[in-house]
Amino acid sequence: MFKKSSTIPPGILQAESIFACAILLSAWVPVRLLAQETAAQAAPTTDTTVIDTDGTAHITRVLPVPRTVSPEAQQRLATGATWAPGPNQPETAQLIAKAHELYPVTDEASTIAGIPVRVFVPKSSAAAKRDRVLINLHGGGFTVDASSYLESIPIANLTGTKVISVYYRLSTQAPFPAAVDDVVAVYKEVLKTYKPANIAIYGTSAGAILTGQVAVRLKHDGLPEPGALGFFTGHADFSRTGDSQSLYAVPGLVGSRPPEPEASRPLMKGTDPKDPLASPIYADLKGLPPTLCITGTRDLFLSATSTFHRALLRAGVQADLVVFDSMPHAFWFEIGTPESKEALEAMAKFFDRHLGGK
Amino acid sequence: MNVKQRITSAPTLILASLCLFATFAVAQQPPNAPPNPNITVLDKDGTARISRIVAVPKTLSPEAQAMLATGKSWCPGPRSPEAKELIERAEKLYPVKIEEDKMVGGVKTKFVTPASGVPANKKDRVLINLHGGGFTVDSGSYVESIPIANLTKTLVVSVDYRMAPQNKFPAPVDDVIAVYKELLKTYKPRNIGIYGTSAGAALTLMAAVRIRHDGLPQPGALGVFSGNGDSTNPTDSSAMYSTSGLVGAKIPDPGNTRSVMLGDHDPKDPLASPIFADLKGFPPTLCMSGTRDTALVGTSNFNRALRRAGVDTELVVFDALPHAFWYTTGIPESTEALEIQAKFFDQKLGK
Repeated sequence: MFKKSSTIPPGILQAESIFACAILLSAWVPVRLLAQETAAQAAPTTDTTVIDTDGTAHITRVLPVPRTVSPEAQQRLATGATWAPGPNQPETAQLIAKAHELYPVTDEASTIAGIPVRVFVPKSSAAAKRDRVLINLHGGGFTVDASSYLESIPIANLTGTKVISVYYRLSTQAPFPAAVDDVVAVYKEVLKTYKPANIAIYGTSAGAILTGQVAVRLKHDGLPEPGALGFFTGHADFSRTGDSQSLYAVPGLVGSRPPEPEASRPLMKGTDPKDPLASPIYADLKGLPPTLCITGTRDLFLSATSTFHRALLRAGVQADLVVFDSMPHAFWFEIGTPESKEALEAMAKFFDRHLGGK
Repeated sequence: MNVKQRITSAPTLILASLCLFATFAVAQQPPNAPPNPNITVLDKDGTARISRIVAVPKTLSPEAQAMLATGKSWCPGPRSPEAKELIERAEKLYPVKIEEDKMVGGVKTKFVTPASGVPANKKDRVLINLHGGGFTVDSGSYVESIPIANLTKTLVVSVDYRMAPQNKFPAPVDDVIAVYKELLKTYKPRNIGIYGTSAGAALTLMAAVRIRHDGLPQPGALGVFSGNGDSTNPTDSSAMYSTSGLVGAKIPDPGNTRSVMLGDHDPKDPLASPIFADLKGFPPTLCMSGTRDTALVGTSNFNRALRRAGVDTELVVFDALPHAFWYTTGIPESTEALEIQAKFFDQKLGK
């Protein structure tokens, strides 16, 4: 029963993106309280499982807030709120302010190869790090910039390295491979100043997806690979989804998302979802640089992130995976929580270790 | 179903439905409608009451999809026909020679070696396997040892440690230490690996902490497969998954199961809950799990603790696969998992 249905009109469930959910999240909490009362009667009270003949599991579960996460994370999980609020939300402005406070940097707008960017510069940088640069590709479902500040500020500060966050074309402006083209243009320009081994490319969510696409494209174009990649809660396959997209939504357990392929996103218009340049899981990944993958056990991209990590391992790539207990999509945006701090430090440490051709 | 159709047939609901669907939709249902697939209700304390429909993901190999569709356990209990079949399958895929009842340091073990013999360059190495089975039974001594002995071309000594409820903590750890000390007479510590699945993974960590505590030299590598280094609290993945993944009744949390073995012992004692130990200087450690593993959080949390302590550690997580799925050999994902385990020991031992 209840197979992935062909009756679903394109533009809804497969629509713009999960990340658009995040945009709406400031509205979510009060509505949730209302909905909670009306739905309380239907709320499962026990754990049950029914398995169809095709293996589809119909489950109910009662999941307490785990005591294995930090008290701050327990509090946040208990509210059901997202950890990745969308752009132009009051909470996002607060998070950016907190990021500036905890991880001081300066930043300014610029353009590189005609592409708009923002450059985040640490307040102090060791001489040994001045020949390095990080390229950030922000999240936001390819439709908005949800997080260029939140992804760049902490990493610039923690690595003591300049971060260039690229405002690549969004899917509302041009479909695949426009965003990849933009990043490659910036990368080529940066290559004039920096050795490839001293450059890292990283991103969260859509930015992680784009990071994978760019790495495959660089190989395809015969350009040198950078020294490291950061693939932070992403996927590398527009043709299939893993288990975690059936279980979790952007805020984690609150809400869910049917496991639809993302092939019919506007981004993918005219692109074969199995094109290796769009879905790196189908590419020959040999020769990709050291890659750090991060996700959480309540992350809708838990499956996809860990699946890409395995593909890298099979290709002989030096790839690391870190999975955070009960954390949802892009939880490191919630600056100041111990889990966010640990994740950001793991990212920074990875870049520090791998940049410079060590 | 009709709820989903309602959502999907109403384009004007747009993206908001993606966020709000579950609770709203169910509120709109007549009382006798089938349960909504995507209910989420949060209690005041944050407890989530959810229902979900989870298809077998197409990201898996066809063999794994077929196996998940049967709803069968990937790690059946000992002496069941299924378990017997899995041992036979492992022996067929990974030919080995098995010597039973070998006493090492006064503890009963079995020696598993590749059928083709141990090559000269691997004769100075040994792997100690600590089987799974909730500290109460032996579920895995054959299926954990056979593939690894074959793939690493190394002697695997699988320890028949004393079990609960007759023998409580630290009896199983004492037995592992006795075996380790005996093997140290023949092998360099860096040429010894210790690994296990489930309870065996927990015991691996307890033994590693105990080795340091006792001032013994550390082994060269550890394998923590579907394990948990924390006996204090249940985890999110144990609330979601049984030992068979989404199928079957959930047993108490691996941490709580351990209470059968721990008895009155303080679960926060680092010797019993290694996550509370100082892990600096721990040997290289491979951690492995699946996203339907009841020990996913236990395994990934220990990996994080090792990382924080600066230990050389790796984590590999397999989409949609349950606890100890590598017990079911012959599935591509199991082959991949076992080869990663073997490769890790090959790379790290002797370094």
